[in-house]
Amino acid sequence: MLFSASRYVLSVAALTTGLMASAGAGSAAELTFWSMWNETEPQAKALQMIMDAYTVANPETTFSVVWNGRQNQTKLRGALQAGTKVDFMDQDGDQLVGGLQKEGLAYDLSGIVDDELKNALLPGTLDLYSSDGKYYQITYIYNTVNFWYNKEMMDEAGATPPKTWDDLIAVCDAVKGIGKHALVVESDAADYNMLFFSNLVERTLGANAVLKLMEDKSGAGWADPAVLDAAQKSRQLWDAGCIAEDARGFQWPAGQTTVALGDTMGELVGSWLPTELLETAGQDFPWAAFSFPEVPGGVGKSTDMEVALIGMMVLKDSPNAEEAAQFLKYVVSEEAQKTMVETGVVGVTRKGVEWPAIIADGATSAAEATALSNFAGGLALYYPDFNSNVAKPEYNKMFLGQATPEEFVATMVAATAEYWKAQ
Amino acid sequence: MKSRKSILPRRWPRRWKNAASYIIVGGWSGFSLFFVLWVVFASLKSTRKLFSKPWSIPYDPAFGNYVKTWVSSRFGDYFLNSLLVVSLSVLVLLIVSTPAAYVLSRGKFRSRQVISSFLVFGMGVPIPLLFVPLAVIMAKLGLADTLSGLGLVYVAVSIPFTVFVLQGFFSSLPSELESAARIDGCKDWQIFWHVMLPLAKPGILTVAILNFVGLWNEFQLALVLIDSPENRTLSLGMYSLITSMKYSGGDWAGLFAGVTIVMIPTIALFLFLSDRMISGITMGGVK
Repeated sequence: MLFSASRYVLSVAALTTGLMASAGAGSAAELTFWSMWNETEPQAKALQMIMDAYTVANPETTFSVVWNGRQNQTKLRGALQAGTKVDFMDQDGDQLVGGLQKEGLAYDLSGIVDDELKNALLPGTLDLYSSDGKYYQITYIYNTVNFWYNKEMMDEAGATPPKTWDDLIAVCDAVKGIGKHALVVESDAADYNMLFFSNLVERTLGANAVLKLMEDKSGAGWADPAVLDAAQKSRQLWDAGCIAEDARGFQWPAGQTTVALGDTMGELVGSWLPTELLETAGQDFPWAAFSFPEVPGGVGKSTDMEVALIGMMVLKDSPNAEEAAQFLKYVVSEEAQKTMVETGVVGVTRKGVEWPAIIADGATSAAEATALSNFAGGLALYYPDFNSNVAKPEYNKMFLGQATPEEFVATMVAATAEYWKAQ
Repeated sequence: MKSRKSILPRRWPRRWKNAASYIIVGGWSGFSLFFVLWVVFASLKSTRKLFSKPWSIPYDPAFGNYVKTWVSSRFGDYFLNSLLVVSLSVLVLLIVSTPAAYVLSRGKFRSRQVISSFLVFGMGVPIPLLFVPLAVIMAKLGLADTLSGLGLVYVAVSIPFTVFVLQGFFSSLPSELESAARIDGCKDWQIFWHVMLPLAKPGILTVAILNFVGLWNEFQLALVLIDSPENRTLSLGMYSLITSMKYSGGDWAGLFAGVTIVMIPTIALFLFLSDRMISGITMGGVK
C-alpha cells in the first residue's frame, strides 16, 4: 500500500496538536540526525513524521537527516573522525553500549531522565543500557525475544503454549503428530541459536546470568552444571525432533520462511519476525508468541525476558546537545510512540501504547516482564571479540552437532581463562 | 622400446581433447547461465512464490517488482549515480593513465623504474587501510559525501592497475613504428597521439571495461565515503535493500529485481565488447 499523503498530513497535524500543548520555547537549531533506517522503511517514515511535527510545534528547530541504514554506527565513527558534526543518532541499543557509549562519545542524558519519564516507559527499558548510573540512550523501539509461532498450527496439534521445558518437548511431540516440526533454526544465524543457550542459563541461574559466568576470570564460571545442562537441553531439541534435521543446513532466511509457508510452527527470535515475514506469510497469518519456558529448579521466571531495544543517542560533541536531548524526550512521548506503532509497525517502549496487532503478544510479554536481559545473554555488548571468536562459533558448532556439550563447556572454561589472562 | 611406451603419456585423439574442453567450458557456462536465469526468474515472482516454488518459471511475471525497486527503492537514482560516477571515473582514469603508461614504457629517464615500482606497490595496498585517511582528506577538501569525491578516489585507486596493464601493452607495440614517425618529423606528443594511441586502442578498451566492471560493483569505498541516500551508488542501494530485510520485512523478489538491474550493464558490456576485449588481452599478452 502506498503511503498516503493525506494520511501523512493528518498524522502530522494530530502529532502537532498534542505537541503544541507541551512545547516550550527553545533556541534555534538545525539538528543533524544520522539514522539506522533507510528512508523507504516504515520506521523512517514514522520518524520523519515525528520530526516534522516537532518542527511545526517548535519552528526554531529543524532537522537534517542522513538515512544511513544499519551500518549507521560504523559510518558515524568514520565521519566523526573526519570532523563531521552530528547531533543525535539511533542504533540497536546493545551495539551502542559496546560502541559509541563505551568509547565515551555519548552525551550524558541523565538530565532529562526524571522519575516522570522513567515511570512512563516500560520497566527496565532505560536502565538496561545505563552505565554507572548514567543514561546515554533513550530507547524508543522495543523488540522482545519469544517463540513466535503459527497459532492455528498449535491449535491443530491440540497443544497449548508451554510453561516448562518438558511442556515444550511435549508440544514438539504434538506438532510431530500432525506431520510438522515445532521449531526451526538457521544454521548460519549463531546469534539466534545462542538464544536457546542464554535463555536456558538465565532460566536456571536468573537474569543476566551469562554475563556473570563470563566475569569469573578463572573460566570456572562455565563449569557450573547449569551450563552443561543448557547445552544438553539445546541438543535435546534435535534429538526430540523439535527441529527438522534439514535445518542444520538452512541459511537465513530459509528457516524462518518455513514458518511463513506453514511447514514449521515457530522460531525463537525477536518480535521483528512477523514484520520480516509479512510479504511471505501474508497479512492474515495467525501470529502468536509464548515466552521461553521455565526449567525445573531454576530461579529464572518465564516472565524474565531477553530484549533487543533500539535507542537514540546524543553525541558528546553535538553542537546542539540540549536541544537534541529534548527531542529524544519527545520521541518517547505518547503521541510520537503512537506514530511509531501506526506508521513504523514496531513495538515501543512507552507504557500504555498499543503495539501492532501482529506482535500484540510481544506487548503482553513486555508489560509483564519481571527482569530484562540482553539479547543472547549480552556477551556481544561487553565482550564482543570473545563473543564473535569463541562463544558464538563454539556454541553453534555444539548446537549443530559438531561437538559435544561437554567439549563446549571445556572450551569455554579454557578460552575464558585465556581471555582474561590476555587482558 | 616397450618400457619407453609405458612411460610416455598416451596421446589422446584430438576429438577427445575437444570433447573434454567442451564439457568443462560448456558445463561452466551452463552453470553460470542457469544462475543468471534463476535470478531473473526470481525477480519476476512474488516473494511468497519465490520461496514456495523456487524452481518454477514465472508464467505470470510480476514486473511490478522492477517498478517498486526502480521507484520506491530509488534504484533509478542509484543507477544514474553509478553510471555517472563510474563512466566519468573511467574516462578520467584513461586520460591520466594512458599517457603515463606510455611514458613509463617508452621514456628513458632516471626515476622511471622507481615510479613504476611505486605504482606496482600501489596495487598491493589493502583498501580498508585507506578508509580513515580518505574520509579525513575528503572532509578537508569539502568532497565528503559527494559523487565527485568518490569518483576522484576511484580514479586514484585504479591508476596503479591501469598503468601497469597499459605499460605492458605499450611495451608490446613495435618500436619501429615510433622510430619511423620520428624520422617523419613527429614530436613526442604527435607520436603518442597519432601512432601509439590508435595502436593501443584494444588495450585501452580492455582496461576501460575491466575498470568499469570493477568500479560498477565497488562497495567498500562507496560505503565509507557516501552517506546521503541521494548520492548512493547501485552497490550501496543493494546493500541498503539487503540490510532493511532485518526488522522491516523481506522483499526478496524486489532484491532480485535489484540484482538484475545491477547485472544488466556489465552483461551488456561483455556481450557487445567481449571480442575486442579478448583481442586486447591476447595482444597485450604476446610480446
